[in-house]
Amino acid sequence: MRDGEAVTNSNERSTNLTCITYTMTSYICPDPSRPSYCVPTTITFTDCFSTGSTGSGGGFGGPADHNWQPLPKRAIIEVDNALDPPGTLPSVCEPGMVSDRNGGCVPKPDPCDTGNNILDSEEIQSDLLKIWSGSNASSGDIPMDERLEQGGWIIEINGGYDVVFFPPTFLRDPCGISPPSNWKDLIPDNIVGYVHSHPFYIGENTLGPCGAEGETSYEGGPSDPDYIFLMDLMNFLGNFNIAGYVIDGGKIYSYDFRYSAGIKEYNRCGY
Amino acid sequence: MWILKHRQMRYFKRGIILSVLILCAFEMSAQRTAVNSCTSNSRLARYRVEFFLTLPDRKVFREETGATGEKVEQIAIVQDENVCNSLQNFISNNRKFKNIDQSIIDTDKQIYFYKTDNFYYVFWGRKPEFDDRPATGPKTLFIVIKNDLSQFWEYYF
Repeated sequence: MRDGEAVTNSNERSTNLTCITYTMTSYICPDPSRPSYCVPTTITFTDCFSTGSTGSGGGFGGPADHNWQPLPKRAIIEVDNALDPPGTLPSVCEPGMVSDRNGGCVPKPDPCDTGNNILDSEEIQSDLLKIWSGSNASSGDIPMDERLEQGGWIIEINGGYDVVFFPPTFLRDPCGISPPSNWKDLIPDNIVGYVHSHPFYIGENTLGPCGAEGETSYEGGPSDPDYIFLMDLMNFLGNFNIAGYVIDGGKIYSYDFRYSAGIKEYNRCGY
Repeated sequence: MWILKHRQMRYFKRGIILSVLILCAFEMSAQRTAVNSCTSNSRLARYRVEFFLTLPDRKVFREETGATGEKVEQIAIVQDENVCNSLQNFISNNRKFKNIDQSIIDTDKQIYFYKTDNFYYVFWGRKPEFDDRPATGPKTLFIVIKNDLSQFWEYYF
């Protein structure tokens, strides 16, 4: 037993040992991209450390060797270079909770059951959560000028769906995503849609972050610029089956080549 | 001696008059340039007017404004300087619109004046040089104005 080794090592350096037994619930994830497949595992282990007689500052008696511990699941699945700010790590949350990206945990959102194949895909729901977390709009208390639109391309892959997040060259602010001039070269194969966030809640006054032309009371739903983005995308690809998705603090909206006439609203889910 | 001074004085006066005339000419030219409020056409901005005239769910707004008879083929950027100036005055005389117009100075946005036979359409959007890259964003103000400037309607699309 490795913990036994630790005790042995400690005994070599100290005559007084204090041992603490930890119980830790971790998750084993066969497929890290599918969090719902993770299996909870409870592990008990003991750490012993010397107490005073070695004069070495009372540190742990043996070298820390926790390689045998399974990594907590959130540390695996929630690190996403596209959306996590550099230098931060998401917190590890209890079962039924997920990181709010601000060091806290929030209840895991309801899964989608919309009848829309794309939204009901577990992979897409995980991606929606990343988009919303990256939008920094987890609550209406967050100052609006600290929020960001985030988004990406929805692709069909291996019989399922996934989001390829917009690269950093797509400039973000609270009221828009502005692609680079070569944006058409960055569209992945097998695209079936695009999704982006409006980091606001219904009724919020967006005049501050969006400037004087913003809404005094955010209405929700896609905008003319969102339709025009979809139109240019469809025209460039010659594919008029591509759908647009907007997620905000209240709802998910889908739209298609009919633009505002084709809007469908879904209850917020997955994020 | 007296004749020399008189001639010098005469040249001096002519010089002053010439300078004043040149200054006036520059001033008039500058004013003419400054008051031209027309802006250039944008492929992407034009779609906003097209959406207003065609999307089925905006029929209620077309009926409200009386724009049901306006056609997509009529859409054009306003190029008449007098009309642009009148529309710019209309914007400047409305506190809200003026605030918007001033807030976009030194940004990638500009004001657009479009027209159909009986209406003007005024809104703010990204400059034509960004026509190669559409951007996303929440709804923004779209103003429909009767062509005699007697009535206007505000929408967020």
